[in-house]
Amino acid sequence: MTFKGLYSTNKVRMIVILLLEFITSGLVIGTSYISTYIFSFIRKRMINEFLLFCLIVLLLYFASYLGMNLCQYLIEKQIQQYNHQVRAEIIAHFFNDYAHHSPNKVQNILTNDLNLIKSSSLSIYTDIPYYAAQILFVILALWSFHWSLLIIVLFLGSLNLLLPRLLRKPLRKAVRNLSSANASYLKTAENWLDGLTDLQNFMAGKKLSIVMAKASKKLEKANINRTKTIQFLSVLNKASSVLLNFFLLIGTALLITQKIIPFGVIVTVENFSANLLEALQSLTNEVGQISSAGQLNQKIAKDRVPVTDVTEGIEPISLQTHNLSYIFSNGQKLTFPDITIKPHEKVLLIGDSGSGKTTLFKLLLGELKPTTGVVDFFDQNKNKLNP
Amino acid sequence: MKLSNLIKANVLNSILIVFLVLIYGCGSAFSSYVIKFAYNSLSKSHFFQFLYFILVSLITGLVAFIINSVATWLYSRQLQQYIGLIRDNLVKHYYRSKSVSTAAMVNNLNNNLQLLTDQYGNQVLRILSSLFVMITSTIALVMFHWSIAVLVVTLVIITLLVPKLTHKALTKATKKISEQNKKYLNTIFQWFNGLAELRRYLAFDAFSHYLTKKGTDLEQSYVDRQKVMGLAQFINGCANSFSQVAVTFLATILFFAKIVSFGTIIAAGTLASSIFNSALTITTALTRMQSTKNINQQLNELQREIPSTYSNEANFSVIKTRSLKYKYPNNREISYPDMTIKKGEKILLQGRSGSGKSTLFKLLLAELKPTSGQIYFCDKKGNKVKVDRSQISYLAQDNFLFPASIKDNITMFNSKLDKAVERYVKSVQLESNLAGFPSGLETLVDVDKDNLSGGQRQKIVLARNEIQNKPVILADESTSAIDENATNKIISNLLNSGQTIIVIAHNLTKDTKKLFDRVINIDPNRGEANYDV
Repeated sequence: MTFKGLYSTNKVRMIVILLLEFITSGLVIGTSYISTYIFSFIRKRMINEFLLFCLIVLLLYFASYLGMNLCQYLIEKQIQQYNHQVRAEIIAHFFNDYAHHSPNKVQNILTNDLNLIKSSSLSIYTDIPYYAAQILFVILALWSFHWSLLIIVLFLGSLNLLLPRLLRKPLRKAVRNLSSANASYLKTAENWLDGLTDLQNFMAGKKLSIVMAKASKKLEKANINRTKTIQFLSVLNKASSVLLNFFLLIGTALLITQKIIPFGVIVTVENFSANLLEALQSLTNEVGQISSAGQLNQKIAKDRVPVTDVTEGIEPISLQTHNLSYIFSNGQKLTFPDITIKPHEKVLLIGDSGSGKTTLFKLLLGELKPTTGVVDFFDQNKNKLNP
Repeated sequence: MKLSNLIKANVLNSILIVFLVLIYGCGSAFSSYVIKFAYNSLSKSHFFQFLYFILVSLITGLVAFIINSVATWLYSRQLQQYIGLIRDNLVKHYYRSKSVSTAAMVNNLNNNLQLLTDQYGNQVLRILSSLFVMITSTIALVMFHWSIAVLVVTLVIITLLVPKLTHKALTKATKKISEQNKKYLNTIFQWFNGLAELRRYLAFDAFSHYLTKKGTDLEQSYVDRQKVMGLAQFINGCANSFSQVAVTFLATILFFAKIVSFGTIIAAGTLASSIFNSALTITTALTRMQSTKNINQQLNELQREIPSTYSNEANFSVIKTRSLKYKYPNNREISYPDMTIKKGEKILLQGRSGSGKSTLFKLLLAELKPTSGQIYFCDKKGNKVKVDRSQISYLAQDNFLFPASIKDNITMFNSKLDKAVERYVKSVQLESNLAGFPSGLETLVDVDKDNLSGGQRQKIVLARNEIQNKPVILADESTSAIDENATNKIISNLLNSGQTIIVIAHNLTKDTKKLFDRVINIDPNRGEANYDV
């Protein structure tokens, strides 16, 4: 599931979302910019100007909240529309690939996995433009004060971007474990709860509790692991942002004592740096989370591929098997005599329980692949067919 | 999910977490307070003093953050432990109560618990840390000037009341998501269970139509909830920003009146920011928690202890049915001939497809209630006795095997029956099949890949029921997939016991039929109630 895919679901809405995010971002930064002058007015005791600018700041705040929440709503709409498309593709793929798909696996993919991707990457794809715009506006504001400020911020900011690369692998592993732990729990739950009536009638409640507890433990562990990894990542991010803040304040203080920039900047530069750090942190965290959901994404991408070789072919009219045998996963082997079925023949198949009658059908249908041998189908002119 | 039970899950850990979060709160407030001295120094152009105070502020802030992260990790451990406990309670409840659909059970065990983890469990910790920050920061404000603290507290109370405006709508929207999710899971289960059949009939369109329709309903419910959440958060956000501006305003007035120093304006602003952010976090978290109220109640109800029913073994000597009638939901009615079955009799039940044989079994088991008429179990003296479901072995037409060894599927995990397994394996003619499996009895049943044939599965289910030695056995087409020879041997072994046995089967050989005491035919066209073989 990609940004491109999300975008093409509804291009107009996506553009509106991006524009709205850009504007909202500008409003947020504008608030800090106006505030700088408020503090200058306070120091110079200019009461009327102080009052006016307070009002302007208030209005900017309201507008930014409006923008943010409108965005979230449109984003959810877009994501759900995208999910709709993805679900349709997965369903088609699973139907046409003629492989076995257990219902609980499908349930996990169509609900849990999509939710995981939504919270790990899709919501984040739409957050990214907002934070990118925020960075742009902060750079402009800082530049307008003094170029040296901007250089310090950019230098320390780029350090902040490199860290997630080191931490991508363990985060990815934790997300992958969570998805497979979810799937395995669903599978166990269904395998046992489907037979609840039997378990009740045979008083096997203790065994049920043991099996379910074991499955739950695995899922619990995966959840904890993910939390641990995320916390560790955010601590490292916080440490680097604290360092940035320190150098920023020192630099600003120096410039102020040299009278190069107005005093008010010392207050608002922290707002700017907080906004920048929030944007950088979110971006680094979220990019890290996107790549951690990357493997899950790849798996789902494979499941969406339309199955192209759905054959609409000529009807077979006769069949022949050569040297057919099948080995089950538990080691049991079934061998079949060579069979020739002529056109229009009606054949009765008999054999003891477990001799392989149903298995033979599955081999003929292509639902199972033979361990040795082949099944050949022929048309009216005795040409071999792909069934 | 109850907070009290979450704490009880590990009291020591809970205390540790609270302690750590308290330190976080103190560190956070201290870090903001110290800023006052920094800015006072700067306005007098004392650069190195400024440097020192800033350093103190930043370091305490970072340490506090780390402590909070540790608390978060410890909390997630306890939360997951508690969730394991809840799952265990749910499983026990489902085991003790009447059957609900598997999709409904799984929806609670997985999806709903996941929802509660995110929207309830995780929110609790956020509320705790925000609450501590709020308290410590307010104390710091009082140290500046009492009026600022009063203003902030007032504004916080107002901000806390605002979410009440939207909480009902939010609860409703969250519940809708859960319901739609359940329906979607159910639809997936039903349609993917029959995937092989659907492929054979190339029925893609119907398959796709139903699945996408249910998917759409689910997707819409997410959008609807976001609408409500967005409105709630907008209102909350506006209240928060108004409050921040008001605090700076008051502090500036106090500065103009020479009551506080310049640095106080900024430090008060920072502290007020923390307080309002904490209040916003708390309200958002509370909103989220409130939105799960219904689901949480539902789950708490399900965890109530159901007393296990104690069944006593009653001795009966005859089963009677009188004027028994059953009406199906589609209004078709079946009248059964009056039957009298003595204890220990071996009866073959016959009738055309759809004549009500399986239904008769379900009536005997009290799984269905007759529309009119009665079924009595009587003792020797003719008094009615209650025969519990647990005294009847019911072999249904479909059989369910568990992902465990063949042996365990027979003993149903009761190790006391291990020694008897061999005998019943012989009795149901499973021995020869087992010879073909490398691991024999220990072979694991593969639920996905079907490593057992239909006949083998039926034999295992037969053994599972026979090993229990219940007084009554009702067998419905239990040998339909087993060949003639083996069926004959299995039935003759089965009938060679003191139990009361009723069998439904329609392709038995004449010799096999002779093994029964009598045949009951419930075909409506035949006037005769029963006749001897």
